[in-house]
Amino acid sequence: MAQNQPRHIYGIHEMAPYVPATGAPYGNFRVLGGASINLSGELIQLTGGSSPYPWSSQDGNITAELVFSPKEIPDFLFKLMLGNLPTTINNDPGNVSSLTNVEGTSVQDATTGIASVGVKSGSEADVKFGKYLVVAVSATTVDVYGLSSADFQRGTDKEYVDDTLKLTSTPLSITASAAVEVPGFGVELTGGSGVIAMTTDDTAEFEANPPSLEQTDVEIGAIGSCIPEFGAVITSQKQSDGGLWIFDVYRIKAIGYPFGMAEKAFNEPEMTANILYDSAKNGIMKARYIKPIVACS
Amino acid sequence: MGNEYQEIKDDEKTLIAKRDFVIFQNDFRADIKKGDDLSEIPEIYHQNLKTEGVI
Repeated sequence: MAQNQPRHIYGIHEMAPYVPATGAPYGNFRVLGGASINLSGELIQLTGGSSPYPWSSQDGNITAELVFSPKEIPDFLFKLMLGNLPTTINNDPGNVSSLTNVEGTSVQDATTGIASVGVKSGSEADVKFGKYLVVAVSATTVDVYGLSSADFQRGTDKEYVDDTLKLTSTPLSITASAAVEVPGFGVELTGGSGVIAMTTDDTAEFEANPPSLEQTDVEIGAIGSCIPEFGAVITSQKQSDGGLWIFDVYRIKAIGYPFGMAEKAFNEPEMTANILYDSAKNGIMKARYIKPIVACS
Repeated sequence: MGNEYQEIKDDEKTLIAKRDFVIFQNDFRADIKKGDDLSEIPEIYHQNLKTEGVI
């Protein structure tokens, strides 16, 4: 009788994190650079006397880690690594966040400052993705600055006026209850209902989002954020003989995620998570292998 | 004969700029110089001009 074919692992197919308490999947990592379940044991040796060799060697701890490299950033990654789920809007016609005072309190004011900022009707195609700063130049005029030029070629082409990242060549006049457009940016500032009287050098900021298929926002780092444990089903690549591995890791704890932006390169972080003992299942994981009768069908 | 004096209301007085100032809002732009006659400036901007000390 001949020997069986040796068993081996090839490649990575996907990793599907799930909620341990319910088994419900969060989703799956499909663009995955790899996933390695590293169970590294330690041996405790008894040495003594003149013998250069140990008298005994007993089991120490096993460090159980999952090292994986997610090259995509699904919503659940923010929750599992950073403690907060993002808010995603689909098929949005374009929007602007609220105007928020940064320095002083006079720029955003419903009566004596700028009451609101919004997308100018009919100019949605000019809205450029970015963060903007409104600076009071005098009691009734403001300059607008942009903190990223990456989207300036959307709609009407724009560029900075100077090295201070200013967008307005002439300060914009804010008048009571009237809107003034930030030229070429598809957004307008609407004056308060009373006598406009801002304090020079006070500032306020807003964010603009052009019409989009998907808009994702997530706040990271709030005190009280909860980073949960998760389980994960990790599947190897199916081999030509149909051989396939599935690892079900019951409890995993990860924290942190690097948003790498290197020149001309994709973000390919390597994450290390701890694998924990699950008392209900009396183990840390289950490994399954199948070599089906029919390799491919 | 009529009255020899005619009362001049405040809003009919000639508006003369006390200092340089620029109004720029959408399609309207006025590059005001000290001493300019501002009677052609739309009334919507008058309050701003007062606040800014231009009139």
